[in-house]
Amino acid sequence: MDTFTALAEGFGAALSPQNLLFALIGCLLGTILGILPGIGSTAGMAILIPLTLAMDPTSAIIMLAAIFYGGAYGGTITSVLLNIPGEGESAITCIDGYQMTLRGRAGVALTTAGVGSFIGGTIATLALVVAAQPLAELGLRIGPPEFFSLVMIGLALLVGLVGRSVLKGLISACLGLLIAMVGIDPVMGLPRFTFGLPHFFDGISYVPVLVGIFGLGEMLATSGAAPRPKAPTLRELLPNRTDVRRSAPAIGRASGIGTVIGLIPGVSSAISSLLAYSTEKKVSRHRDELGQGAIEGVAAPETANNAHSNAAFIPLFTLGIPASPAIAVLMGAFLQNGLTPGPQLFSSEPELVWTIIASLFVGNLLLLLLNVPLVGLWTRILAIPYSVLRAVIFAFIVIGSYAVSNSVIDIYVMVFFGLVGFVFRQVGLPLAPLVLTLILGPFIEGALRESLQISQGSFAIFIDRPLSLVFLLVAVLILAASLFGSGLKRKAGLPTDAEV
Amino acid sequence: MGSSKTTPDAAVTAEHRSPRRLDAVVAALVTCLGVAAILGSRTLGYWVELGPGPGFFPLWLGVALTLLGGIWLVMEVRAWRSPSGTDVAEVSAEEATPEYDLSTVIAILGSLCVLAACLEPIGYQLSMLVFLLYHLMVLGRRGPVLSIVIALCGSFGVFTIFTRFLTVPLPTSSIPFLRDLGL
Repeated sequence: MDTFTALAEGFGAALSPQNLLFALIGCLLGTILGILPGIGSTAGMAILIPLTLAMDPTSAIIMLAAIFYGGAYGGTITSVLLNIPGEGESAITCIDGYQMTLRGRAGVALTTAGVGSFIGGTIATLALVVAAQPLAELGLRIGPPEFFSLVMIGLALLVGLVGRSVLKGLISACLGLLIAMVGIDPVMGLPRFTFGLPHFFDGISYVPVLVGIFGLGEMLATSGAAPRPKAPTLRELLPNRTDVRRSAPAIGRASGIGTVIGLIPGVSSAISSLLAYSTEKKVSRHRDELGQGAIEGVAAPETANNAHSNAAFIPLFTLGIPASPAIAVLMGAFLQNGLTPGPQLFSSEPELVWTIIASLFVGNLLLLLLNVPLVGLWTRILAIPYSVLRAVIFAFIVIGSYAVSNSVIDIYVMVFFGLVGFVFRQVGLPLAPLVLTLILGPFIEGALRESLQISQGSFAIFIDRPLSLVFLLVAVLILAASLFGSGLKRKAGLPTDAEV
Repeated sequence: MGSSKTTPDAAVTAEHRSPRRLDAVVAALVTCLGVAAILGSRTLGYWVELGPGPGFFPLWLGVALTLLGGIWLVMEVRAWRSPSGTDVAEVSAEEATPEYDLSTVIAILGSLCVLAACLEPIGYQLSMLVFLLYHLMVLGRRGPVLSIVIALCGSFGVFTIFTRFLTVPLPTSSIPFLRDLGL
């Protein structure tokens, strides 16, 4: 049976009333869970796995997958409307999305994010159908040195992202990495910087940190005034021709970035969002507006993270490797339902695999049909008096922080990072580098240490391996271009990139 | 920096504060954090038989933070002492900070800490009820009826939804009398 016949049969099963209903429920539940700050799609899936055990395995996986990408869209809603990212991947969207909300363009931002997510997700799923096997073989060649060098590209791009003050951007990135060091050392099993508290043996969970520095920090920084803009009218929800013309190239570029990066196991979708945003800062005709409410700043990261999320199914289906924490939870759901993801699944359960792949197309379409008309409903949140909204948000950020590990310590962590976010805003330290290095810290350190173990302490391993060398050269070129470009702009008296 | 008054006029803006003083304090804190990371990493082991030890990465991070924080501190102190004061005045629109009210900031942080401290002794429902009433009636100056309805929904309503339907456990009181009442 060839690929497209198998996919056609998959569509037949995915479009059955039962599977369609579960995909719809999953999209709705995922969006609602994604809106709740601190819960997000990963925790949402984990919470709902027990409910799926009594269901047919195919329907269960379809619903959980829909919760996964529905949650990502829900996270976008809070990022845009409230400056609270549900997940790390949405952190970048806060930058321009929230600025658009402050300018009364929340509806346009959410509609663009919905359309971009649909296009990015569909392109990535097409890649899954067409090129799963050869691309997974390429992914197999990514060892620890290549992974480390690839992350260096992301960090070099951070320098471009932070714009005016490279110094402050680097400090923020180092602080994020330092926070990521808290916990049990993965190689030696020794506790590091845990202050003797067993709670921190598993590290500082990034959910209370994100909720603190973005959500609480923003509410503290704007506590002297009610900053909520008015809810947009129906006409204001629709992107105008300029918006479409500006966001289309960004969506196209971000679809490619998210699809390619999503293939690499272990690379967070936050990297795809960051790369897509940074690419816009380099190539967009309106790059000087990024950071101040530019439509490209929403279209690019949202498209990239949804493309990434869908492409991340490729290593799961072909190698049995979960590419992200959310996919790892989904893999847990497979195992709970008696299915082992991997190459053998294509031969042992072809109908199930192709039904799930077909359901990704259907789910992305459902998400678009569901969320774009409901953008008006989501933006009605803005009509609620700020004091009421603030009190309700406090209740949810407390629950979201507590629910991570059922501990009040995480509430204190959230409050502490709220204060950190507040101070960062006052002294002009950018938040994005801290958040991204916090999430990627364990992966960066793991790859560096594994590489040095392989080479018995020789750093030459990073330039001896061709792919790693190429990645490092790209990182150096990006860094040089960013610094050179910034210097030229200063000399010419032109404005540099906006601070994050 | 900042103001302790609650009137809108007292809200602190970028123009009214002296950013360099706080910047210098934060730069000094970053430098101290870097030094602490270096000292902390020394007890962890820089290199072990398997390769880089648990202290390898934190040591280099500590060195980087100390250097970067030190450079920032020197820049801030020099700008502070600059007689022309041009550096101090040069705050771009990108770096302009939003308005805040120091008394509200302290009230929010304090109330969240009190809430966290009360969650386990008296449970989520009562703690959140009082917390929400404080924020709605005292800080938000909302009417009593609306405040009570929202506070009941946010405390007892949310508890029911999360514990019964979403299977997310929320804390109940550790005091037997309150626990017996389902709180």
